[in-house]
Amino acid sequence: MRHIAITLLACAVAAAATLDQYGSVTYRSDSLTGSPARTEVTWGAILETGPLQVELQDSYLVSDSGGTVPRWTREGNDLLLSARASFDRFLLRPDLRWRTAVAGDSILLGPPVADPVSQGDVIRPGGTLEADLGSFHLYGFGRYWKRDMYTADGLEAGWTSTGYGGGGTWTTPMGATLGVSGVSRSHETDFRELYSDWSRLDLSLASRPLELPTRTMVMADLEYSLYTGEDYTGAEIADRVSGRVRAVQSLTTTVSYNMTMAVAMDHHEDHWSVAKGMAGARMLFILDRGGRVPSILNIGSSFSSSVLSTTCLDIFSRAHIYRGISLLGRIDARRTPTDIAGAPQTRRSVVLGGGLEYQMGKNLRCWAMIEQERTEYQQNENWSRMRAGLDVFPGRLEL
Amino acid sequence: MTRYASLLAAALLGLVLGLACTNPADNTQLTVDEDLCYGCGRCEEVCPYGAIEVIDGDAVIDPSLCHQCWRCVEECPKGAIY
Repeated sequence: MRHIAITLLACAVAAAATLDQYGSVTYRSDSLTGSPARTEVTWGAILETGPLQVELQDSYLVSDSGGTVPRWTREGNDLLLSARASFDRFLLRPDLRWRTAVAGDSILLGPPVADPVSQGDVIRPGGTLEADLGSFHLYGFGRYWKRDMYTADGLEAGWTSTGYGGGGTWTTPMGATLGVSGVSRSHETDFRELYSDWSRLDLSLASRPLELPTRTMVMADLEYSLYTGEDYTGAEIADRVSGRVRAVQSLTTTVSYNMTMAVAMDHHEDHWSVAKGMAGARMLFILDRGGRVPSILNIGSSFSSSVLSTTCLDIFSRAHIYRGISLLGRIDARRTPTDIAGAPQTRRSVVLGGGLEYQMGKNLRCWAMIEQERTEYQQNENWSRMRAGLDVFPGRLEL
Repeated sequence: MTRYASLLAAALLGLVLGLACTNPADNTQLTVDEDLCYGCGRCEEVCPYGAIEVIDGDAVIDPSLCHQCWRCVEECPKGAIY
């Protein structure tokens, strides 16, 4: 009887299996004539049956320089196999990542003046175990990396790394969340001196979302990270205290606004210093007309400052015009540090773009944009280019 | 009362932020802003030191391998690394 029950249960579970698939292709050129700059093809499938979910995702990337833009050249495949199995209050998430290098620039280990080595395949098995025990959430993880490397004289070499850690959070009766976690990493190569070990202990406190009048919500968190280990120069990694405040306000049913401010301070040898600060804001207009493709206007800006400073402004709009066809518009202005030889240390760039998008329900989305970029490299460059993409969701299969 | 406390907290944070912006200190760690990062992996592609990997949808920087070349900062489409 017991065997029959188990068999029936297994059949029921098997009958309830579902398969979801997704795919995407993105293409970017460096000119209007179609000189390819970056192409990425991704396909994935998620098989779910009862408490078990298995996902397979494969992505192939070709990134090359079209001439105008100095770009890191790379070609390779990235395969990710992951699973989720839930048992009562426990969740087990094993995964395996396998990156295959077809071609590409070399990787640098040690000081920048050292001879580079070519990186071949990287394989990374790992796993995470989580437990939900009421107001307590506990987790632990472990990962192992094996990288194939080839030295300048053609010798095969290896680089292995391990990482493990764990922690827990407690949601207090007042709604705040207290957390403790730790992580440890180590690297070892058999061809160059790189025996690096470091670990970190984090103590964190996050407030519950505080609701204010005028449909505003405020959240804050604070974290203290205690490091043991050295950076690439051999200096001890400083401990860090970081804090963040977020505010979200719904101005109307179609307009929302959020703002974030963050600051971090480093503590090293009894000396405190302000390490970095960041402020960002975003406003989102969504005009959703009863299940049709929503029209949106998304305006965001951010500023961050540390030993480097970055300023970003991005505006994206989608105006639905007729039966899934929309007009797209984009402005992206940035001021970022750069290591491109001859360019100003802080490079400025502006991108203006416009195009069309077509959505067929929730199963297909394709789009194409023409963009004009002006940026500072060795000289001020100004050029046009194309970007296009295709996203496909074939729908759920009941197995 | 809550509103005044929020305003005070914002003012204090703004003051510290102002200090950070006008007098940044040397540090050896870049930060990935998990609110902005959406795990596209561009930083991982361009890091010449193998110091970045996207794990569970967020980029993670290994502070012992990062050489502060800032290539990831330049490449990040969201300005999430600083």
